[in-house]
Amino acid sequence: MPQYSAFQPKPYRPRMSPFWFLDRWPYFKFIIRETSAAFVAYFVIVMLVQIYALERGAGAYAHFQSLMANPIILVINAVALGSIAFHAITWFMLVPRVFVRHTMGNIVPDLLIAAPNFGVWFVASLLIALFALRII
Amino acid sequence: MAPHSRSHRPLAWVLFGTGGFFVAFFFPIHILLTGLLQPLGFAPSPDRESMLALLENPLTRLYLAALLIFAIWHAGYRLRDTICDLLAIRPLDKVVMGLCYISAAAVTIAVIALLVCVP
Repeated sequence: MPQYSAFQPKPYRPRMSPFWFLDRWPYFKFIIRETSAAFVAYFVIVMLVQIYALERGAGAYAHFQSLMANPIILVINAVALGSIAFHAITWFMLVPRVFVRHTMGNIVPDLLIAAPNFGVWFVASLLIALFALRII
Repeated sequence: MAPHSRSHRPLAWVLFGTGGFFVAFFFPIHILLTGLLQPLGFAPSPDRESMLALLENPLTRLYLAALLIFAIWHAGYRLRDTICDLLAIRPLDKVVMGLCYISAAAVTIAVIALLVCVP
C-alpha cells in the first residue's frame, strides 16, 4: 500500500517578470548598458552602407549623405553615440575595481587609475578624425 | 552524450573581447563624425573621390575589416544574452544564439566582399 504524505514536496520555480529590469535602478542601468549592443550592430550596418555607396558612385554617395541628414536617423545616431559612450566609459572605469590602488601607502584615486584609458581613447579618436576628415 | 561537455563560449568570447576593445575605443568618434557632425555641417565632409582614395589604401581596408568584423561579433555575442535577459526567454537561448551568430557571419561575409571589391 502506497504511503501518502500530507505535504507534497514541490520544486521551487522562481517566476521572473518580463519587466524585471524595471524593479531597481541598477537593473535598469544594466539593461541600458547592454542594449548598446543593438546600436553597435546598427552602426556596423551604417558603415557598410557607406562603403557600398562610396564604391557604387557619386549619386549613391550623395544619397547616403542625405540619408544621414534625416532627422530620425540623426536622433538614432545621437542615442547610439550616448549608449555606446556610456558602455565605453563604464568599462574604462572598471580598471580601478580590479586594480590594486595603493602606491607607497597612498590610495590612488579611481579617476587617475582609469586615466590612461581616457588618454588612449582621446588619441585614437583624434587620429581617426584626422584620417576620416582627410586632414592627414 | 559525453559526461562532461566543454563550453564553446570561449571561442566566441575571443571575438567578443577584441570587439569590445574596438567598439569602446574607435566607435564613438565614427558615430560622432559620420552620424552627427558631418550631416549637421559642423565638420567638413570630404568629397567622394578623396574618400575613395582613402578606401583604396590597404591599411584603411585592413582597419575597417578588423573594426567591423570584431564589432559585429561583439554585438552578436552580447545581443544573444541581452535578448534572453530582456525578454526573459533563456529557454530559447539556442535559437537566439543561432540567429545572432548567423547574422554576424552574414555581415562578416558582406564586409569581406565589400572591402575586396574596392575598384
